[in-house]
Amino acid sequence: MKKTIILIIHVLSILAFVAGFSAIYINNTGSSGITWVSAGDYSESPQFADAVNSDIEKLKKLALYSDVFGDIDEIEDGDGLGIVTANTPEGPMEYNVTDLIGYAESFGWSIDFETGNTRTTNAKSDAENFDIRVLEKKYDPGYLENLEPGPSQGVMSIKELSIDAVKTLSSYIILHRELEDTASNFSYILYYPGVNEECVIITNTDLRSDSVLGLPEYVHAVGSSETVDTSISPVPTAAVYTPFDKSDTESAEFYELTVGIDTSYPYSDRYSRAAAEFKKQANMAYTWIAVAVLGFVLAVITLIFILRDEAAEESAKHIFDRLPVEAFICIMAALSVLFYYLFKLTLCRVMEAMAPFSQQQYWRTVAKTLIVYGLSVLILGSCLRRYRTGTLYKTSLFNRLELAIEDYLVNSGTAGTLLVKFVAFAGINIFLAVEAYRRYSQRMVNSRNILVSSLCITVIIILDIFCYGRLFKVARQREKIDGALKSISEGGTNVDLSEDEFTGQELETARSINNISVGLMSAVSDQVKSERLKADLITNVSHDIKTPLTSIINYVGLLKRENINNEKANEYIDILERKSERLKNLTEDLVEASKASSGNIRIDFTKLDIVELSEQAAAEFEDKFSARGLEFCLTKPETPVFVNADGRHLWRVFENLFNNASKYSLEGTRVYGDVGCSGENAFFTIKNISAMKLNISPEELTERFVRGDISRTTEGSGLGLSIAKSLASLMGGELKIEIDGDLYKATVLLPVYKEPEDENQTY
Amino acid sequence: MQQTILVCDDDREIVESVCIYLEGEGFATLKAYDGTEALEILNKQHADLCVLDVMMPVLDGIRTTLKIREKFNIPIIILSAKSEDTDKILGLNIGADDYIAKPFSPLELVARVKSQLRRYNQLGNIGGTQEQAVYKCGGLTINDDNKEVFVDGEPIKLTPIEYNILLLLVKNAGKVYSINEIYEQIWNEEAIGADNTVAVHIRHIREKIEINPREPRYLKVVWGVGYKVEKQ
Repeated sequence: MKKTIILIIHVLSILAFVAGFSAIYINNTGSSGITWVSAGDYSESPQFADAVNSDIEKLKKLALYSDVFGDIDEIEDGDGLGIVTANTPEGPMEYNVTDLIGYAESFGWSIDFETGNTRTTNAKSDAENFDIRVLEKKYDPGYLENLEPGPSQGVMSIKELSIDAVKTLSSYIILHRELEDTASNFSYILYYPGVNEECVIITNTDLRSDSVLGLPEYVHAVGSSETVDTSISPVPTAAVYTPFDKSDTESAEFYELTVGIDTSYPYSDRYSRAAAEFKKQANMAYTWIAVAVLGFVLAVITLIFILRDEAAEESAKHIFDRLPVEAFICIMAALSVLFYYLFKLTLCRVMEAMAPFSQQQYWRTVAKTLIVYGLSVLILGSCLRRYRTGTLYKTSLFNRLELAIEDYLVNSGTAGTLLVKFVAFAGINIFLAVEAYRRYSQRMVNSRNILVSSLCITVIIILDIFCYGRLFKVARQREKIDGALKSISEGGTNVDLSEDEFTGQELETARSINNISVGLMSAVSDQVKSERLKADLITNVSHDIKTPLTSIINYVGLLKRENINNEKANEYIDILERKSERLKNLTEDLVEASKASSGNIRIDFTKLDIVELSEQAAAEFEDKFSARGLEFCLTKPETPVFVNADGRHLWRVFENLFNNASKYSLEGTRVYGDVGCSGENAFFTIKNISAMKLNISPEELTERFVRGDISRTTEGSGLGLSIAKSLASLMGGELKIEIDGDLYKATVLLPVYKEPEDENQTY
Repeated sequence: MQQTILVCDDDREIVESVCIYLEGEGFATLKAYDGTEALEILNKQHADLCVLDVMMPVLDGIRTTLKIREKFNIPIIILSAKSEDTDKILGLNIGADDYIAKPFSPLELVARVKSQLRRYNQLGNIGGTQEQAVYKCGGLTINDDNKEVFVDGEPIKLTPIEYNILLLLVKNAGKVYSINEIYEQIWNEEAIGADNTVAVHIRHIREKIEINPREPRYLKVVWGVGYKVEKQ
């Protein structure tokens, strides 16, 4: 309810403001209402100057007419002067005033000589109407010059001419009656050159000309000067002498106009009335100004109230509050156009009918302003509600656009962002370059252009240097990242990129790499730890097995020493002895294998001759080979082949290979050994014919606990080749197994000893 | 004179079996099942040699060895399940005379016990009366005058070539000889196309003079380089 009242007050105060403003702005003096206030007094107002100017014009016209028409009484008495020359059907002819009045009367026109008013009667005229060609109208000197030259120039009917003449006479009489009145505040003395080149004087006062000039407002002009001496502003330019006959220049000296206005207004005439009216209007203007100001203030106050109320709204209650704010404004703009169109269709017609033409533009403007104002208030209210509920920015299209761009940038990743950045960069560059060129080419037109041009170039340079700097920074960071990646790919785990050195996308990458590195490091250390644990476990378990095993071996030995005459018992004891021996070997191999494969082993590198080692090994295994009827053939170079290895570990490798050959070779075959050097590597190969089918892959053979005989009937732990392989690789070498049918071939490759740097190296 | 051996291990069966073997060889035995017990027995009774296990409760073999060495200089043989080099070195460095890794052959243990006792009893005081032609290296003695070789007092039979090789190595104890060098020294001809005769001879020598040829005490194989006799 309160809101409705406020709204009504607001509308009323707006209307009051418009009314007040309009009253000042438009009035019967022609959109100059505000001057009532600024002028202060009527005599200082433009209206006063206009009135004086118009009176002077009338005065000059009176002078002309009285010259042409002569004394009014004489005209009345039928003694008029000739005023028109014309070619008539009867030949050239001069019509005087009386003639023309007579013609006019015959056409139903009459004139009252006292008031100057004309009357028409509808009496059917029997007078003959005929066309004449007017050559000169004395009361209208420029008449013929203003017409189109030609045969019909100045042709008119006698009726038209007579009515024209009577109308002019009428205005002469009216002027005369108006101006001849001596009881007037407007006093004048006019000297002017008459028709007969004599000085004619018309006046309405008894005062001398200097007394007239002594009046509060005055105008004084002489024919010899184009300036007007006056107290009135703006200057009544009508006072300047304009000759009736333009060719006549000498007569100007007769012209002298003296006008005075007594602003104490002793007589009641149009001046005193206008002054009184002016005073009234000025007072009215103050009232209207007060109304306008009051209306404005009230409108502002109520507007604030309305907006405050709107802002107090908690939720977006209007349906258009859910529209994006830009769309809402667009709709409002469209509505304003629509309303204005409606206004033009309806109210505007009314206004056109009522208001004078000069005010119509004003009223249209007022209507436009009011429509725009009303819709603006709606928009403002809606915006305030949105602001209040925090949805102003959220619901705006601009926000959505921004979100969409952000979304694009986020989702399109580096490549998309790069594209946008590049387009922006290139756009700015091109724009600045074009602008710089344009300005430079116009440097002659405006000296400021050269400044703007150089500014553009400076901005380009700074921008480009900045962009290059960014790229350079990114490239440097990329280099570091590449280095880190390379080190990781080559097996390095200790990669720690300092995050301070990276920005943006590179920072993300650096973090990822650091995470990978940490993960790798922990994975590797976990693995090393677990390998070590495993090796330790195996070692400890082996130790725990060894003690009971010792007892078993000892008591089996004791059993053998008892003289047992049971053949079977003796056989069993033999089996126990063999198996306990095998168990012993197994536990030892197990420890060694776990240590070798986990690398948890000490290696003392020395320079040693692989040829010598082959011979030593051959000697060690000589009787084992011969026990199985095997013959060992060693092919060796004449010169020693030195390798860098740990003698005892390398012996272990050889021992295992020789052991395998001695155990698994087909009885009565040859075993071939081949030692030498090829390129960077020294090699030792042992070849033998397997006694059993080798239906197993070479890779599997070096696995732990895998043995050539699947049935595992023969002695052996299945760890020999695994140990040999691990040891060989720990010493920087390699163990390769090849199987070709029953031909079994094992090759040890070791790097050849290099004199200077590799000596006594310890890992 | 019957000699007394102290056997100490926390595993009673091992102690029993070892004692049976030793008694079978005519030794008297004393049994202990931890380090402190062994020390108590030694303080009360006389023992000629001590066999000690390393991993024992209360007082382990290493500490026991140190304690024994404070009072006695009898030979000590350490038994251990630990077969690492470092364990062996530690045991030998703190005063043990021999080190046998478990599981061991009882006969080897007996042989080592005998060897230690021989050195301790018979050879310990021979040093001063040595002649020029006698070369000694630990328990290994070569008398070049009558071409006799003794290991811990026991005479060893070697072929002439084996004898010459061993003599060369003992004379130059500590020096490593490659196969070719040995061949050139012994056969006095250039070692072109020499087969593995030398290596086989050396293996034979090792088999004769060593208790356990796989872990030789005197004639050692330097793998890939050659052979040497350890200087002792």
